Amino acid sequence: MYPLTNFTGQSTDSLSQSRYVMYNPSTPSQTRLTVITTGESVKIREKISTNTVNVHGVIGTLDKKTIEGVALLTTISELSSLLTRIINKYPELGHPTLNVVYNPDTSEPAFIEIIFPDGDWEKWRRVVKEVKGELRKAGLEDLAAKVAITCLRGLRE
Amino acid sequence: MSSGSKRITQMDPSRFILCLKEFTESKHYDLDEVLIRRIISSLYFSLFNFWANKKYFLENRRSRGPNQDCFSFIEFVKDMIAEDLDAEIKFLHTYRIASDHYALNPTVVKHEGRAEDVFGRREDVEINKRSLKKAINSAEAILNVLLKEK
Repeated sequence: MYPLTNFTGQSTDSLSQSRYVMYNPSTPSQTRLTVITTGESVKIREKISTNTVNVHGVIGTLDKKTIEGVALLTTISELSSLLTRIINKYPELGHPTLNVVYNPDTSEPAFIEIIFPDGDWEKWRRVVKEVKGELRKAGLEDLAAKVAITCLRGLRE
Repeated sequence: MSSGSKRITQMDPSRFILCLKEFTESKHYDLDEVLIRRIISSLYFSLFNFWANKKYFLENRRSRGPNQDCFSFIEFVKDMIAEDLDAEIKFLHTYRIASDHYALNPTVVKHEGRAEDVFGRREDVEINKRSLKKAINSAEAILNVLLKEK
């Protein structure tokens, strides 16, 4: 378990606070990344790896195309904070992987899928309601609409 | 009532889903695989058609085709994710594909599209009584949200 802390070292207990976990003082404006060069995607990975070990294992290993897709839908920092929050709150779901789903008609990214290996059907539905409820309370409605949570065990059994 | 509103009412699958539910419950979900596959598929498409008509007439959303009324599944899925129905739509979407396109049961569903673009990549799926029950519950949850939408 890795405690959520912001850059001042304070513990954070809600998404409205934890969204700043990845905030980097050297780049104060969280502008949307629409074009990412290979060098930039490497920098993003490095930034993530130095800040959160857990999330680095999820986002830090993504290829450039997936990072681009994520960046077109949300900011990497918001997604990192969301992942940190879910991984810490629901460790029983296992280690997640990320997938960007594209609209085949437009070839534009449609949504981000966070895929967990565990979590039964009832747990899956409950996690979606809780996480998205928190996102909406934190004013992150847009992120809630663009992220899908999947629990593979719940789908299978 | 406008023609658009009339069309939406015509495509409301409430009665259809209720009929299927009553039928399956009367059989204690003990149906053969052909019937389970057809029920799962029809549940999905009844909701998809209803959703598409609502988008077309209420939101004036347009898509492909001569009448711009041919919507993609991913748009439907995306809208349901925005309504926090991640589990319900993912389940129905995946099992609908297995029911309509895959010969074996259990099987592994690989969603169409480029390998890196697909919804969940590969899923283990088994069509049985349990999945039928979950499909009906999921369809009801999605229907409730669609009925609430203005």
